[in-house]
Amino acid sequence: MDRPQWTDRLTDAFLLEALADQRPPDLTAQILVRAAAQQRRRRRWVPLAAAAALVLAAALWMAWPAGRSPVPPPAYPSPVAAGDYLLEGSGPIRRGSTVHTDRGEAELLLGGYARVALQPGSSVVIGGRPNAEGLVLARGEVECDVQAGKARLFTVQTEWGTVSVVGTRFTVQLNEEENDEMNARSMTVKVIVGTVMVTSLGAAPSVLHAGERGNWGRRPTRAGAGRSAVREAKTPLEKARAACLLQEQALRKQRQQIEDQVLQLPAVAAALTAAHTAARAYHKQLNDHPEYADLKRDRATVATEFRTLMGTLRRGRREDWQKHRDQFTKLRTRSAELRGKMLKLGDSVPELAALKKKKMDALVAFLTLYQESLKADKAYAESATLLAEITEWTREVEDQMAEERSKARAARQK
Amino acid sequence: MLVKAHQAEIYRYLKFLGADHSLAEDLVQDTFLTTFQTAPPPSLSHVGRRGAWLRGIARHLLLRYWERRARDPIRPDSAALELAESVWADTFPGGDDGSLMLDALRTCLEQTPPRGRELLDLRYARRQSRRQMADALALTEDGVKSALQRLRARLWECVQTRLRQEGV
Repeated sequence: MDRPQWTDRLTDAFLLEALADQRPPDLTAQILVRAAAQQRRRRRWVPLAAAAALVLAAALWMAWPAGRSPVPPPAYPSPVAAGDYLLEGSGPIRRGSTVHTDRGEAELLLGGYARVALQPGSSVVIGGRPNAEGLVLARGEVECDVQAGKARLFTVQTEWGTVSVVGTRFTVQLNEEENDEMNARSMTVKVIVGTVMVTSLGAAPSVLHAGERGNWGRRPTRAGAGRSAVREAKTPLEKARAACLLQEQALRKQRQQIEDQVLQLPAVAAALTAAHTAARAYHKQLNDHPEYADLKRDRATVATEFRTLMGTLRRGRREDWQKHRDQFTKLRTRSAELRGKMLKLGDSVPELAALKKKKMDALVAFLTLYQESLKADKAYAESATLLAEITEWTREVEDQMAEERSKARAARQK
Repeated sequence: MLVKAHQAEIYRYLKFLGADHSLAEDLVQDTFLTTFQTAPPPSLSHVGRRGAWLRGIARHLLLRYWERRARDPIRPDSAALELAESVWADTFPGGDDGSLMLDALRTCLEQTPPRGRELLDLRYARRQSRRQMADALALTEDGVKSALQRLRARLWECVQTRLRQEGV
């Protein structure tokens, strides 16, 4: 290319910006988050947030023109994404954006207080509103780390229900059956720290605590961990592990009892009832909404078509797959669209949105009161420390067991 | 401050060199991340020199990207990109990030005759193909091509004049 051609291209580029409104995007947040991620490398969430906040604060302070007040009022943080992700559509990431991961992992930072780690093969739609951030999990698994704050809610919606938290760490996983990527067969919620509430269509809301997991859908809840270990323990290490597991179970039981007692406190019980009532009212209204029923029916039709197609593909050959690939993709997309519409309906219809807000407010009120009441219980706090120690001992014993197993394997090979 | 002051310039520069929107977005981020890892040369107090330094990094990243994707259609080589850089540096000598040129261009667009303006709207605002534009304006495709080239050349002259008048 010669000089006049470059000049022509320069004019062309600026004409596109002037007439097609292709303005340069503001990438400051993405750059700062990636810079902070580079700095922290493998460190966890707290240093990332601190580094990002510091860099962001410094950048804002430096970018502010001299002569004005020294620090601008902080704006509500926009969603930020980092890692290996695909963004559906154009423009910067924002509320309503759909984020996918394929083979890599990605991280979202919502409202400055909720970090969401997307596992490979996940899809989420960013939803919520300021101080009540949330997302819709359409596929895969997310690990959420929500900083505790006054009346700041975070929710994860799936087709199996809504997980609501105030401040905690938990994972939500949609389990899919082999050869049926379209329908999530169940949802698993695992709580690492704190408490979450799960409201699910057609079932009473449930509260899960640290260390607990629950399944919604077609898989049974796993219970009685450790019992088989006690029965089968033979070697000293196995016995030690079984003893640790038993202690752990006993402690969990004790904590469960305290939690139950706290739930019986008149104020907490009243708040829980109010949350249940509000959640039930919202879900009933949602189920009764004609548009929701239509979407449900359409999705069932698509699911039937998909099952028929999968049957054909299972019986067929590789050429059949090539032939039906477009139909497969079309059905998957259609199903995801319908699922997204079903989940978004609650925000788009004013009367449903009002009920949803009421539900969220009631959940926040209950969870805040419940967590504060638990914090005030001395025995509960002590049991948390003990539980952490025992979990650590169990891990140590399991490490030793693994080492012995590998030694034995090496000896056998010799 | 470096990011705020220069990200628009680097984005526009990368698009000028031939990157599409998403590649330009990625490379703008990579450019600044590279600068955070490298100590800047000491002579970078002037905004124009800082811009040249950043453009050099961005150009290098773009070339590396194209080298990795050798199967793509033929791209400008490093010599062609050097020429592009000299066009950019001559057009924005004072370290303008392109905003002044954009303002001048908008003024010049207002002065463009209606038929020319219609052609520009079809091409840039409605993103029509040459064939569609030819049909809409009862021209041949070659006629559309040369009309657009003439319009761009005229706009370029107009912009340069305005920038000179404003002392840029």
